[in-house]
Amino acid sequence: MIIYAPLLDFLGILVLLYAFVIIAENFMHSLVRDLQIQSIILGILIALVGWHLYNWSLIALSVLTVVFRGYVIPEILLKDQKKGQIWKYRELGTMSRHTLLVGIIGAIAGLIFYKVLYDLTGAWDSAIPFVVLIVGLLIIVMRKNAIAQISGYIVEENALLYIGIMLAPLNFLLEVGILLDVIGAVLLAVVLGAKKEYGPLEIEELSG
Amino acid sequence: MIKMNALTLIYLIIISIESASLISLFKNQKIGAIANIVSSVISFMLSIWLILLPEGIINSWFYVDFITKVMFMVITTTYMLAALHTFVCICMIKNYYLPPYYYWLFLAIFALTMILAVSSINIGSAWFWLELSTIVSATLILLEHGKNQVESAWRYLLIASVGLGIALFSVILFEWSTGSLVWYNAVVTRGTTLIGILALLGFGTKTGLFPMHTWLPDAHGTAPAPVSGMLSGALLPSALIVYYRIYTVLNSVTLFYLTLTIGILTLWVASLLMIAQKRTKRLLAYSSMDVMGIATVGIALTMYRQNLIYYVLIIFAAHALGKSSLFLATGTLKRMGYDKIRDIRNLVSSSKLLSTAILISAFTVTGAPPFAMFFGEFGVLLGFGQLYIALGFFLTGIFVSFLALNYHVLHMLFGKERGDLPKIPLRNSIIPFGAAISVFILTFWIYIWIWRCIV
Repeated sequence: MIIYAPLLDFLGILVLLYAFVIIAENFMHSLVRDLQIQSIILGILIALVGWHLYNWSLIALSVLTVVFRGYVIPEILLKDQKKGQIWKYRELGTMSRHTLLVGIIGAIAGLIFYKVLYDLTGAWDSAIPFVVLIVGLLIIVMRKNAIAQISGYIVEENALLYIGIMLAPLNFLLEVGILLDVIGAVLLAVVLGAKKEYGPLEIEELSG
Repeated sequence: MIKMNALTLIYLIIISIESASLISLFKNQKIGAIANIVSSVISFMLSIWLILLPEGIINSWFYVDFITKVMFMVITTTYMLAALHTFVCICMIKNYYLPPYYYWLFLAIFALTMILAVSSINIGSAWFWLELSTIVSATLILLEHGKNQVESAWRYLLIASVGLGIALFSVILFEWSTGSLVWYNAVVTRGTTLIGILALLGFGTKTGLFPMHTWLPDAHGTAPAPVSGMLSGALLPSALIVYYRIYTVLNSVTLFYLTLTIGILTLWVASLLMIAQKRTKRLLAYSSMDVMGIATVGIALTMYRQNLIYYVLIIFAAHALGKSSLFLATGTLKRMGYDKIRDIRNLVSSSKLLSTAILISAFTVTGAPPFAMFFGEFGVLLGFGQLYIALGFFLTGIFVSFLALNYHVLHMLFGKERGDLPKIPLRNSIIPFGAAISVFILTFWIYIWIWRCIV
């Protein structure tokens, strides 16, 4: 791991920066592109760790990450946007400066909270994915638009796989990745299916 | 008599349910219905057989003790009731969002994921099956056309997945701490409290514990009635049992107080929200949440009195039967256009069968004596020992929830302030009534059986 350490850190920082770009982005087209780049960077990071550990399931996971979250989901969303029906423009309900500010505050709080984990593990390896996880959760909570929420879910998924790799490369991480991608696909199917019937899905309070 | 060991019975249960899902792929509703009904009855009978066997199983895949056996019975019973009632329910669905055969396919898979989650010796696998159950049950919510269905399925998928993401974090830390994902005989040396807090938050989301409960009333309220019954009666306890397995391994005092507090808070929040409910199925959803609060308190107290888990199992069994019956009955009313509580008055004059079913079931789930739930709640209450303040909050919470649900139910049954409801066709009432009678019989059977085990 020592040979790759600076490269892994560099890629990790890129993943983190893209999480901040995603939280602040309210142009849907750019948001999907940012998500695509983040997933591809994570895929490269997983491949490097897999190569170093000679772990073929991690290499398979990196391929899955690049193909599914780096290509399939974003391309479906972009294709839908090209039809010009929905999400072509910006999400007006979200103030990007506010979300970015809350994201930064959340990230600092996450870093402070990570101290608990650091006291246990004695390593800063998982600090970046932990902060990415917090940012992903904030994206889900703060955005109303379904596409932005899916992006938050995928950022969260990326962070969980990243944590898994840094902390304890589980035997079943590939299965976890597949299952999480299936959920992403179902979420996407719900959004696109609902759009055809009812228009863009903006989550409102259901009648009690 | 044919002799079978426990492992063979478990394989038969799994094969039976799996066969139903495969047969449902024929895209024929009738074949799917018959396959599911036959499979659910067989798996129910096999789970009764399993509970009668004294032996357990510990191997690299399964951990089957008495707790798992009771959970098998809870899951297969709710599955059977759901499959039987669907005959009435599915005929009334006019506008499908997904092809109808999906219902039978996913109903069987839903039952299977829960069976595998509660019997897994590996918390990673248990997490995997619970996550899969989220996808399957969300698809079942989407069966019927409607924007509410789509929104609630969306919310359920998103919140439950986020919660289970947090649970996955606890699973990763568990593996990091113990070097294995097998929870049986695991020794957690590092990060006990952190793993516990993350597990409580994560699996608690799936159980509908405060403050991660927001998906629950929407999902239960909009799903077809048999699916609501399974969500409430089987899925919530299954997630809580997975948490219980981790809780017993961690053995942390901080976690004890946290679990106790979250349980009492859940009970109180649900009870207060029940008072203000306007729709029948949302009322029942909050009632499920309050029962899960009581069960969580019971699980917290097992740290000092391990036998309390049997009382929690009584709560699960009674709740599964009673709540399934209630959801089936209110589902019938909803299909007739009576969804709001205030519109349902003097139900007793419209259908004696349906009214009896609702009354028996409401008393069962609120812990009215002499029903089994009362015995379960009483057992949990005895476990408080000297924690008098917590006991006070727990008792008053139970009292408020008892009043809230029964106030609404009694108004629906005997209230006179509006005109009478139209007569409810016999075919719509017969299955909820049959379920309620089964609830009555089975509740007392469980009461006596578990009492014998404890003594």
